[in-house]
Amino acid sequence: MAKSNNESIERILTKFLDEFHQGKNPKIRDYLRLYPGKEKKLIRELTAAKITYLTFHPERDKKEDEESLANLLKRLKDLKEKNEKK
Amino acid sequence: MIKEAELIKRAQLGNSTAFGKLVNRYWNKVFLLTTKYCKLEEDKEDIVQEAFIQAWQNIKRFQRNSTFFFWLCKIALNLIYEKRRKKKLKTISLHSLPQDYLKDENVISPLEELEIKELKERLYQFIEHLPREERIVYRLRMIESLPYQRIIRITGQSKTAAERCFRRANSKVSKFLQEENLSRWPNQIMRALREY
Repeated sequence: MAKSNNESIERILTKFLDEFHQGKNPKIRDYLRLYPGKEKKLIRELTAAKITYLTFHPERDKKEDEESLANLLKRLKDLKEKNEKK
Repeated sequence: MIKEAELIKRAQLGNSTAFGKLVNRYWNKVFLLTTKYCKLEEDKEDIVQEAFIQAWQNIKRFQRNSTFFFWLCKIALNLIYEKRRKKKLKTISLHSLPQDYLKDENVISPLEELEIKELKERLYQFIEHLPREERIVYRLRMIESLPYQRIIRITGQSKTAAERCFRRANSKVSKFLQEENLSRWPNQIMRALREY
């Protein structure tokens, strides 16, 4: 995965989903490390993409160990709560 | 034909005719569901009947954050569990059950299956209401798992335009997921989705 800080969110999403399509199991936190400064936007976009992808392709989640969908849903809930506090 | 929401509203105000119409509308569907999980014929009839009685008794508590049918299914499935539990209590000693059975949290119950289905349904419905261009790209990419090379051949867009469409759709899905009341997605569904 090539790293570029100027990469658009659109392109990052493409790379993220390409990994799923290749049978890999991309981790959101890896992408956050790769694209510093875009964390907030990336968390929302990648979390939504991952939840939706895993919902429609649940077999992909079998390999999930560290970053389970449950954690993703929890993170989304936390984000929602944070937004409500603002 | 009177809309379901109107019938529910009337039933919640105590109108039994309106509730009767809901019964007619959903009896067969609930019966089919119980057929899937109940072996004895007499049990099915009892469960469907009891489910509608409980629905009538609790209709005021029905909140519209799920469909009426889903709510009915939950009542029916709870009754099935209850019946199974009672039968087990009559016939099986707790000590005779394997310890793994008692501990196994990975067993997905019919109710959990239904909850997963409901989540998928809600998500699918949301995607179906996206603007046409976004919906097509999002479905091809997310549900059909197609690469952009093939998507742009179908839609006639440039890759950048298709990626933008996808991003717009994904942002909306993200907002939808955040607005969903996640607290009503019980632990079971999160676990079931993870293990599915």
